[in-house]
Amino acid sequence: MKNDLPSQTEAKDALNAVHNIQQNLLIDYSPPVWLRLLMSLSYGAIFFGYGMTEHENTWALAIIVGAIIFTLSTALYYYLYKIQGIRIRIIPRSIKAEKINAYAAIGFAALGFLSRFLRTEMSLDWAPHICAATASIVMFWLLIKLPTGETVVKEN
Amino acid sequence: MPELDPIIHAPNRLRICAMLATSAELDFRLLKEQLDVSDSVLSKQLKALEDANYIEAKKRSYNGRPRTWVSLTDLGQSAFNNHVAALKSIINSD
Repeated sequence: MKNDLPSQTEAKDALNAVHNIQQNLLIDYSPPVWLRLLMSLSYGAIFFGYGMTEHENTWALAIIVGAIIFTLSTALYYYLYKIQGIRIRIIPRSIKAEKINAYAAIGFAALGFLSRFLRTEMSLDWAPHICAATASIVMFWLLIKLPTGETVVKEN
Repeated sequence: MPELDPIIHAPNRLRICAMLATSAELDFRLLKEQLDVSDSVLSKQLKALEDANYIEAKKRSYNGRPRTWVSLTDLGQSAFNNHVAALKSIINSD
């Protein structure tokens, strides 16, 4: 291959072809926005319920309902991809996706902890609202930017 | 400096690897639609990648209809990453 190395233009064309086909696949086959919104909101509801829950109060119901809706919508998300011919990755393989997922996991854990801690220990009653909204927004961003769990959707 | 992979370098095979890198597995039918090639052309390209152990193809039944799922192996992922890195280094070389 060393003897017939492509020119810079050919290499650029090849990289553009890689970029274009990946982006087309990610954008054309992504599940509807309402489903991703439902997943994000139900995920946020879990954080909100956790932050508001005290001994046997009704906010525990928000955790249960949020978890059920999130599980069902996630199953639908996987199914919609599968019937189109795409099986998405649960554990990423690329280093970039691994990093994003690791940061997200740490961030979600911190939000869960803060949602409850700030309200119960520091009397910041707005903390569950902020943490739930943040969790929803981050989840929605992840579903838009990393829809198959592996390759990042980029702006053209 | 990473080297270009002669197996992946062919345009259709490069695009197949690029698509497979986005997901765990892709359906043969989807690959065919995206590449806009015939069954036989796609099969030939997949065979070349399979012979190099860059991809795996598995047949599974779905709603009573057989579907072929194709995935990139670890070796294939590594070869694809190296190939992309080699292309980038060519672009950045003066």
